Amino acid sequence: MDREQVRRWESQCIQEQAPACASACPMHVDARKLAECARKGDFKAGFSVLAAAVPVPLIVAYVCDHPCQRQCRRADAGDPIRIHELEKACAEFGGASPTLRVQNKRNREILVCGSELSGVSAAILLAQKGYNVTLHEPGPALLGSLRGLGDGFLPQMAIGTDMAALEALEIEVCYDRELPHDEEAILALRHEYDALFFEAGAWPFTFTGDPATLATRHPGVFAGNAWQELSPVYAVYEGSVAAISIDRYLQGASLTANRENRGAYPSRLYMNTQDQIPLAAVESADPEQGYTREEAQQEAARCFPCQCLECVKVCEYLKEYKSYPKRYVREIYNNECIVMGVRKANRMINSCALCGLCTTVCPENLSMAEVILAARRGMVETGKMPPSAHDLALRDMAFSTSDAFTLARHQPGHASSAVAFLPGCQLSSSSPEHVESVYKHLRETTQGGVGLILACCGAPAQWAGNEAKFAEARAELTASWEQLGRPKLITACSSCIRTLHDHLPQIPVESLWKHIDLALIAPPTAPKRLAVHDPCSTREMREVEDGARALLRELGVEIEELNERGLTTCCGFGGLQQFANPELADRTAQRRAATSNTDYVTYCAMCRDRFSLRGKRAVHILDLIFPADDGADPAARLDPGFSRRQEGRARLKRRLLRDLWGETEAEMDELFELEIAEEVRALLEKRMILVEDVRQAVEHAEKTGEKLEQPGTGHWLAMWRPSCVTYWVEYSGGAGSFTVHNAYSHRMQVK
Amino acid sequence: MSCCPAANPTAYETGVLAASGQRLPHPGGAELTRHAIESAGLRAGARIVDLGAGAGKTVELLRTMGFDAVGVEPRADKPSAQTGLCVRATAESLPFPNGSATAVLAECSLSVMGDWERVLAECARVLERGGRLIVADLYARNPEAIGRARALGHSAIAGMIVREELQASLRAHGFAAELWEDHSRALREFAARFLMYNGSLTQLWGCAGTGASAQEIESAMKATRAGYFLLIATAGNAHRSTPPRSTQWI
Amino acid sequence: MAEEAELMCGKCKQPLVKAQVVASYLGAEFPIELLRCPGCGVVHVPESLATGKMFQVEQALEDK
Repeated sequence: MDREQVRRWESQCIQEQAPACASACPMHVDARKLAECARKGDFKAGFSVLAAAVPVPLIVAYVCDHPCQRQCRRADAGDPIRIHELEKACAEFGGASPTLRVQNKRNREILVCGSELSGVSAAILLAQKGYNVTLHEPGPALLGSLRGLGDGFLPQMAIGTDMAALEALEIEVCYDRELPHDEEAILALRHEYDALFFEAGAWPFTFTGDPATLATRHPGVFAGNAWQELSPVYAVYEGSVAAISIDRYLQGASLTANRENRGAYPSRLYMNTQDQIPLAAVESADPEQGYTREEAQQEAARCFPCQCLECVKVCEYLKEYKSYPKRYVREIYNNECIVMGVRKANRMINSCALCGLCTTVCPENLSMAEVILAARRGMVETGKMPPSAHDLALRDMAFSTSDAFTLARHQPGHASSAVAFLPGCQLSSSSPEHVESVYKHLRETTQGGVGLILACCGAPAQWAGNEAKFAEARAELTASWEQLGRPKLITACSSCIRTLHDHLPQIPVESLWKHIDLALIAPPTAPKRLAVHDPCSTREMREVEDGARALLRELGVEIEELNERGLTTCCGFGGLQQFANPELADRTAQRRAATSNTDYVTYCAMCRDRFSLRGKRAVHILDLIFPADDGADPAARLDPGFSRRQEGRARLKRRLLRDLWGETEAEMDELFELEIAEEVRALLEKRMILVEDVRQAVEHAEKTGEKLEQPGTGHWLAMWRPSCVTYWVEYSGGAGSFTVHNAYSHRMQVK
Repeated sequence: MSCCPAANPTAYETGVLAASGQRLPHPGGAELTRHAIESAGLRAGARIVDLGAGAGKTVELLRTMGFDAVGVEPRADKPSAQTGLCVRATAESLPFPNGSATAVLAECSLSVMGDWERVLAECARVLERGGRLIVADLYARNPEAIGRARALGHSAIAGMIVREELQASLRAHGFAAELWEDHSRALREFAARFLMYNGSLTQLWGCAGTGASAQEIESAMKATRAGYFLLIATAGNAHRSTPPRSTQWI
Repeated sequence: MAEEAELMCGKCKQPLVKAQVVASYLGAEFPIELLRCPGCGVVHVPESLATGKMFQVEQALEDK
């Protein structure tokens, strides 16, 4: 909640920055808004945009030299917008006398010498601020140099209308007035008036006013710069600078403070023009007359309009809340909500996938992940995080950090480990058989002992903003690493490598993809063409992405790229999005799945499963390297679902302990036989109960004596719940030989 | 969506739900009601109208929360737990003056009403400007399949809401600034509890007697991905000039 | 399968008796009556319940 940090984040989002046209204009006329009005045919509104910015709008509409047009980004895709023509159209079809607002009358007298655009603008602006303004014109009429331009260029009507402002504002105009030639005369005038402004043409000296403030060495005397008065819009600008300087001077305020954004400056707004179709400007049928209404509307329609929204374009989450990062940041920290109710803000905070795509596409690299994580941490700390948001995910992580799953062993027959394999909890959940195959492969190819660590790196807790649980998980993983003698870790999980890289830099870690020796495995030929989906965790880790691709190429896969490198999207699991906002996660996955019709290949177990859930055919790279024995199509493999994932993990540990380290609870593992009739096997298959589970249940019952007896048949009922499923097995027999009669299961827990 | 409610008694009406031990007979129970009311940000003593109030249990709860609550119930055969909780009236014709309510609550009631467009109009009328309309009900998370649900006879399922339709209707009646929350988990638990203690989903959703089979119901629920939502909208200033009907306390 | 009423606990050598227990899944709790061993507390879940009502309730609670 650091205010400074919040302000920095807000300033990184440029969506609210002025477009190129408005920032190129010294008066900051919002030409983008004007074009929007013109496009709709609302020329009156378009004209009022101009009138809001300049004191002589009708004149400016006709004579402006339009520096805005020179910066117009439309030039990247066709001709720049004919802003000048649009302004003229607004003047013609919607021009009206602007309503003049006079602030409270102030009792100060100001003299303006010279009545070209600069002087006239200064006079009007100062009069609007409430000062008593007198205008001295050496000639017989105002705006002398403009009158010679001809009606075709600048209609007399325009001059007349704008100059009516002088009367309305009670500006005293004196014609045929001799202007002062020397300092003495100027000082004399200075006694009569509280402040003086001289247009450059009316200033008798060669030295000019200070370029930023127009102040001269005489306090209260301000003078214009000749070079600026060549350009009509700059002349108006100069008048506005003078008006501000005089206003500040008379109020005793600093002349220089906070004036950096006055005048033209380079726009910070980024507009991606790459995909815009080039369009030529609309030519008026009668150039003398200028645009007709229709022509103006058509030309105005060529305005993009400029806006950034680069992140919103690529992210379902940012699109969902119909806003952009600057506003999100503000609303999170001001505790306001986009829609009513505190819970809506919580949902918004918990729905971000933390995938980093916005940061990559943002011209200023604003990281919503950074903002959101800080917010989540704050919520957890202050007890405001709704438990249901991440409860399932944190419970799952608790399972992964419990004895049911954790393990840290040296290779069987070794007392030390040069390296250790960290498969990650999701691969262990969906494809425990791959963990076994990879570990076997590493043992065959690496000297010095390959240890095994089954653990969770804590990423779910980090994503949930739960720093305490995250620290615990990291501590446990570190302890396992130290216990094995601090070997180099080889991991199959992108989230693990990311977490270790960012938060446990002391642990050396490498991605598995460089450590697979295909020559040794000699897998069958892979499918011809697959589209690679990079998991979002390793977005910036080129070597991981490259490693996976090298392996795929070795497998003979023709790789299709889904996007430019670094622009992968999340599958919906990142940031725990699928727990906090399943609908949005679905859309995120769906959008990604729809990017190509080709089957996907990825190297994150979670990504693969999430695509499968959306009906998108996807394989894990390990499916290609270690194809299933039964020849089943790996792309058609379904997402195992949340309970089966936990069982997968638990089963993996038990199997490894038993098969590799020869550790089981029951010594009678070799001692007993299990007889299962064909019909019973079929029933088990139908009920999706593994023989493995039946065996373990019987083992458990026999070892602990925890079983029920059915006096009628004399059969025993074993009951066993290894993780999320309770198995009941009806069996009979003894002394090392048992017969299974029936088995069923349920997920509900009963106490 | 216009079967006469009396022809096909729903689970509520046959008293089955009362026996199931639910504290309040709608998904989410009292917890969701409280959450909805809290989210609406009402001042103490605010006047709340509960549409389809049944026996008035929610009205009782609202009164204990400090609100001036009254229920509206059309069916004469649904006795109120105490007198003074509810008035006999239909939601299409509320016996309250214009702008007299701070909030209107419709929990699990829009989906069983025949014509909720008229109900919305009435809500717009009786709500004060800035008043809240609080709706919690079944909705189709997959609206493309809504046809399957609407083909079933009159019941909460056939009446399940399509979000876009409801929101368009709300806008048309001057409502704005909605909160929308998904509470599908509450629906799942509600259905699960009914399954565990009572009977089939057929009974629960009140399709008993229309010939819709359990399979058709289940298929409709699955295809539409039926869920439960909470919506809170703010009333604009559309006050009709319909005079209120006379009040008959029950 | 035999009648539940005759079930004995293999550990405690006592018959199971009717008891109020709580079944839970995905955060939802359901008080029900089942047979429980008065000694060690083990609760018997009959096949008909497990493959019938329980299964339906589990399915209803999962959001598919």
